[in-house]
Amino acid sequence: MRKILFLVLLALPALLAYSVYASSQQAYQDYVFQGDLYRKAYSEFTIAKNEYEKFKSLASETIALDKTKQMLTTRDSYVRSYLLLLVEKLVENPGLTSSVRNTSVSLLTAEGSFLEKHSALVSAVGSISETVTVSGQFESRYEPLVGIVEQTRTTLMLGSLNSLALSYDSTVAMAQNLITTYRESLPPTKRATIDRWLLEIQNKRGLYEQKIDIITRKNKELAESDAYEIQRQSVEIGEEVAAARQFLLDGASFLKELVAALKYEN
Amino acid sequence: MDQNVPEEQSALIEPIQETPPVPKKSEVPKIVIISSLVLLAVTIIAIGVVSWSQSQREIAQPTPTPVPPTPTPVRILSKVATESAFMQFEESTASLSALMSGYTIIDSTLSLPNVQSSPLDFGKP
Repeated sequence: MRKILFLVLLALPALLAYSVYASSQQAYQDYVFQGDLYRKAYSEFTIAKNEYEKFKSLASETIALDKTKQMLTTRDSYVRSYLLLLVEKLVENPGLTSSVRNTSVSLLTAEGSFLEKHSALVSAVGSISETVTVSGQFESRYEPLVGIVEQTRTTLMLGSLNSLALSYDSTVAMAQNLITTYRESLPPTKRATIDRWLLEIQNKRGLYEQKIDIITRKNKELAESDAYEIQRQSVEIGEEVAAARQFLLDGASFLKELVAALKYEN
Repeated sequence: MDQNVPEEQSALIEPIQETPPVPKKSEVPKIVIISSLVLLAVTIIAIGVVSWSQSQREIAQPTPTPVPPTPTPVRILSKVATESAFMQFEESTASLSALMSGYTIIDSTLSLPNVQSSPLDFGKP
């Protein structure tokens, strides 16, 4: 009975991962579709704008106005679908605490509401000069939006790392209990080695934690940065994330060695 | 015969006889024949030397004796290995390794969409 329960617990992350994949896929498909619509609308807008600037006729102005409005609307929808995808990913991320998740979701939802209202404004526009003004509202909001998006992406990575760290911790705890319980039955020559290895495994976790602190600090700084700084910080965060993951991978590899050392007498 | 030639003189004149054709001597110069022979001799000696040295080498190299396969050390299971706690730890470690290798931390599909974020710039109508 216990074994069945253990197997179910083991299979649970896989089932969760599958459902996560399924829901995210739907949001991702919508995002891709909106992207196609935007690129088509943007291409038509460019042609209409050139025609209008060339001929300056009433007909070309009407077409340009129509295509500009279409482009602005699809741009709002495209960015909104992206924000919804991020929300979906946040909701499904198993390594995030509810407070962290809620903070990020509320920020994204606020941006989504702005885009929804902006779309309504675009549809009410009646002249080329008004499209320039309305588009300016989006443009002024874009830089802070990039900051929020990068923060969310980092939050998602932190959640994924945390999920791995939780599995790592539970496995290390098992190893510690095992060694404590069966310490006397281990060959004396092996005890010191195993203690040392366990220390190495715990050290990797410590190094991982240091990286997480750096990532968290850098992520907070993103909110106050300009576009250039956001891009630079994001690259650095990516490197720190990779390093943090590597520490867990090293520790997992050490754990496998520990298994082999405990399994055999010689 | 000339009626005026005296009899003693006519006796001196011999009828012209056809000489048989002398067989032609070989036109290959001696030097070529000699050098060919020398070359042949050198080749034979060289082949002999090479085959001799090879046989010497073979004698020098002892035929490798087949190495008996090294027996894989028999690993003795520890007492701990039979405990269910150990089995759980082993399974947990294996699933952790699988999780680590297949887990996507940096999701490339989540990169920011590329949209026009600069002013529309319609020029002056």
